[in-house]
Amino acid sequence: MLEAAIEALVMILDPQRLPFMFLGIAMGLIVGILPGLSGTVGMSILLPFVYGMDPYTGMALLIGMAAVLHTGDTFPSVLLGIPGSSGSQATIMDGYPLAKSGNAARALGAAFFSSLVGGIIGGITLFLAIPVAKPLVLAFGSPELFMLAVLGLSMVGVLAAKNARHGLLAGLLGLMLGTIGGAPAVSEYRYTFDWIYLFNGIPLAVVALGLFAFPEMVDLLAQNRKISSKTKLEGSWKDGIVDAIRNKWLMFRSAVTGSLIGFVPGLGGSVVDWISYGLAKQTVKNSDSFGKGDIRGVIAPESANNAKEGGALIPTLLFSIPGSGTTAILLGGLTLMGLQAGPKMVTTDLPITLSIIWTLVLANIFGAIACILLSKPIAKFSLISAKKLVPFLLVLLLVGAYQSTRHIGDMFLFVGIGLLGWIMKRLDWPRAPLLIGFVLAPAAERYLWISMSRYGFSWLTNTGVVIIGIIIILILSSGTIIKKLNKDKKNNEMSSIS
Amino acid sequence: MAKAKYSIYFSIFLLVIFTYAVIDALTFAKLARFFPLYIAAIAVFFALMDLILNIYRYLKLRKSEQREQEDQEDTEEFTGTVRYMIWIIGYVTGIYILGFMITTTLFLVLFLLFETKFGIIKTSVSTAITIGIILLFGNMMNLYWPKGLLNIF
Amino acid sequence: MKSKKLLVLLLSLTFFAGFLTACGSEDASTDQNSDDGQADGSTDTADGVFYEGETIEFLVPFGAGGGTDTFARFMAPYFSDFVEGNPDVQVVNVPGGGSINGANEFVELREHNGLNVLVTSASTHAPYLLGEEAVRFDLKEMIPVAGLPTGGVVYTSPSTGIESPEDLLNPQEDLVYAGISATGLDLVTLLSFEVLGLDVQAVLGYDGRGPSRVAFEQGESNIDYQTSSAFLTNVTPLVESGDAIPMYSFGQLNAEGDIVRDPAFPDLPSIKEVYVELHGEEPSGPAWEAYKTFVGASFTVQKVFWLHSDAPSDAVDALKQASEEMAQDSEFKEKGGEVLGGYDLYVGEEVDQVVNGMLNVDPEVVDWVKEFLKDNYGVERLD
Repeated sequence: MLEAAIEALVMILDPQRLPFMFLGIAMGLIVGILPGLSGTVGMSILLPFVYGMDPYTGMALLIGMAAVLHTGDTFPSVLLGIPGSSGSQATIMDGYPLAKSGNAARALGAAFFSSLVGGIIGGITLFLAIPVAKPLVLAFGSPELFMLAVLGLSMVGVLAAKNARHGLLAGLLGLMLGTIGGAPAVSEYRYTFDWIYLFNGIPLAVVALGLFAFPEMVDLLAQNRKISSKTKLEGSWKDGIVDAIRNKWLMFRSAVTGSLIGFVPGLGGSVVDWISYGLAKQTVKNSDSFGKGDIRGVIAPESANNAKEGGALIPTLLFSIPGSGTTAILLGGLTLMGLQAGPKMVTTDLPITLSIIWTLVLANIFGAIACILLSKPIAKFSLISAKKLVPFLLVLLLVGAYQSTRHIGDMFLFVGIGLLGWIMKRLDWPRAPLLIGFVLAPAAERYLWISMSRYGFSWLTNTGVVIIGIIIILILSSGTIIKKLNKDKKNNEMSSIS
Repeated sequence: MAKAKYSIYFSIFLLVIFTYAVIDALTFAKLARFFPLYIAAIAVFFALMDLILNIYRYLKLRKSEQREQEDQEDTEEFTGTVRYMIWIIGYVTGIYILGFMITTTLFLVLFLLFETKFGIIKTSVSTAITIGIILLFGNMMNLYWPKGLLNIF
Repeated sequence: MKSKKLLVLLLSLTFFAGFLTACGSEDASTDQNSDDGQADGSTDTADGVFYEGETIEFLVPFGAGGGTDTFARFMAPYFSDFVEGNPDVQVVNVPGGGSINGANEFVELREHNGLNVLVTSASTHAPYLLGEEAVRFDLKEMIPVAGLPTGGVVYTSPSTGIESPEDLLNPQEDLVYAGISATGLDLVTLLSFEVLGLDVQAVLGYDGRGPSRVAFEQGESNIDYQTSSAFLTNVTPLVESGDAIPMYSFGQLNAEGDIVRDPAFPDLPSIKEVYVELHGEEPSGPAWEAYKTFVGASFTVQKVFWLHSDAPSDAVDALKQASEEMAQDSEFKEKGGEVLGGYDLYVGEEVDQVVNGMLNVDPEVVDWVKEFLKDNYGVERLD
């Protein structure tokens, strides 16, 4: 296999193909940097060009884009407190407070370095997982998938530790928002008010932007301040890299978690960053500064969300199960190039799979370097005053939000959810639980229903279910245990980014 | 103080939403019903609890004194916020009616002139550049934007 | 045309990178170059050619990357080549509402000028036939240009003890089927169980055919179906390793309204043959009629290109002629392997016939299906 791997490397380093990988990287960076544009949009933009390319070239283009997307999307998360795409929601929690205190460059440096390491680990995981991928994926039946959704939901408890009542309510509200649209098992449209736009549910980008971007923009304008409270940027990206290396164990562990969760089909990558963030918060020492600008709160999700991409390709390529909108389009791209995802991807088409892994690793390296170089000029955005920045940002956001469904409803809901987000921010309600609930609602409902109708209650005693259950309890209690250990530290106000 | 009052309103709002969700869920087909029904029912319970706690806190707070000053500060910032919300809502409504391009041009010109206090030259230049970039990118990346009810551009 | 656009995309990316670096001082280090940028050089200026210098839009009512989108994107350059006047062809995705959204938009908002083409799939046809409330388009008011069939194969797990179709009625364990939703493509499978008289517990709610196949491999279900191309790539290895046994194909509806063997699976009995083997007579009755109707709408005519019925007749003729030529083209057939799934396009009169067959549905059959869905799968909304 090693020989085949080297052959694949030569394949993608071919001067005819290499430019396409860089085109993919450039595209991924732009889509990532522009808030509201998701990987799905990036993929749909590139898909028409793939037609007629040979699979190595086409894959270099598509994977190059997908790989660096979660590197570039860190910019808006850190600098503006707006999720650049679904993968960097959790980065806001600590990245934005860091930017506000003038440490934008440092946060970005740490984030990009973690992204780089995470991406490489994700590629290696993908490579190592090939021989064992099938039994691993098959180990997750619907009951196990449901438990993983619950694991994700338990992060609500972690994030809203001090404000449990509001966190829970926000999470429930998120779950309810997630049920809007078609029901999973029967053609019934719920809470749609006969508005056809809602039949497919509310797009994630609209919820995330509404919840975080709208309130932030309004408040920035009202106070007419700059994002950074200091007039000069402190620290440089080099400090961030030092931070990341100092927390190398956390970075490594988050990357492994990320790639493992990534390859579980059906859960969707959107909660990887939250789970990784929650895990970090529960397990590191002195976690009280989480949510106030702790660099570790940037390292954990950023390392995980890039590592996830490698893992997520396993169910996509081997089982043709797309785990996200991005990978769904990737499957279409494969078909356009005359390939079908399936078991053949690790036998006759193994060279292509290997070239994908190489692209993933290389793109992560180049993407992170490009981002580090760009970080200094882009970090200056946090020094522009709100009234000069926000109008342009708003235009950009609305164009971005509109691309998910191309329906005017996107814009209305952006404002509607934005108002909700603003109220929650004002009343100090945690907003992250709402997002987590929203993201996990379909998976939770789907797999709970399937488990119940297939197995009755007997699934509760499955080995996998019990193991995940124990993990959930451990995570939830580890926080309290650690908290008891440093009881003297007080005031753990997290989850509200204000 | 004001915050405690608004917390009550927000709890009532959530309670209404969740109650509606429960009632509407009862009309769904069986397969589609169980999840939203149970989740909403649990939510109603917690929202009710939250409401009671908030009212209790409000009543307790009302006995203490320091409310005037805080209220004043809040209202001042509040009017500012509402002003910008109206900007954004107006912008989106404009997009719905006039379409994206016309409204965006209008919005940028008006906002930059009256809020940012840019000069006329600076305003027109930055608006033109923004529109240009949007057009360029829209064309290259096959982006779309709403045409509006009037369906002009 | 395409390479030109790619070049422009490249340039604009470099421009953007430059724009960003202009804000600061450092280099983006992502310069690209492309070795192709040749413009499309066809300069045919004959008068009276309808599509000369025009752009056709294929409206796909699904998101990018799905089966219908892939099909449309595959077809687009061929239409551009074969249609007289060599128009540009663009694929536009209008997803939402399970494809109802885009089909409604096609009828209500797109100009009926022959430059707009709708690409539908089974998921668009079924809600139309079942009379879903949100449907505001009428397929009878559109002109089919070309169509594509697909097929489906039902297979079982060895754990059921079923080794050949004759054992279907006496499985050694309860049959469990993993499906998506009773009103989608699964309807055909469920109707086929009903026709054959199989006792199958249908667990619905899976995320797609891929996940339901994984459920089969995990043992969560033990009877499953896949469409032709998915069966060939993903189930054939299971058949070879002895983890799946093919039972029957759904068959194709021919012009006479009869079910015949699937041309992609000539060695596999169709459901009709299996019925004869199990019950000793030809299938009949409302379930069989319903089955035939929905096999026609979901598989025999799985994808269709449509024009508005009042589109200019020049446009209709040009597109129809182009698709007939295309269907004969050897390069098209060869390149189309994975996308076409081994089937031939329906063109010319044939497409009119099969589409007519699909749309001429006995209202009693539809009522029976609604009743069937309501009684067995709790679908109440269609009344």
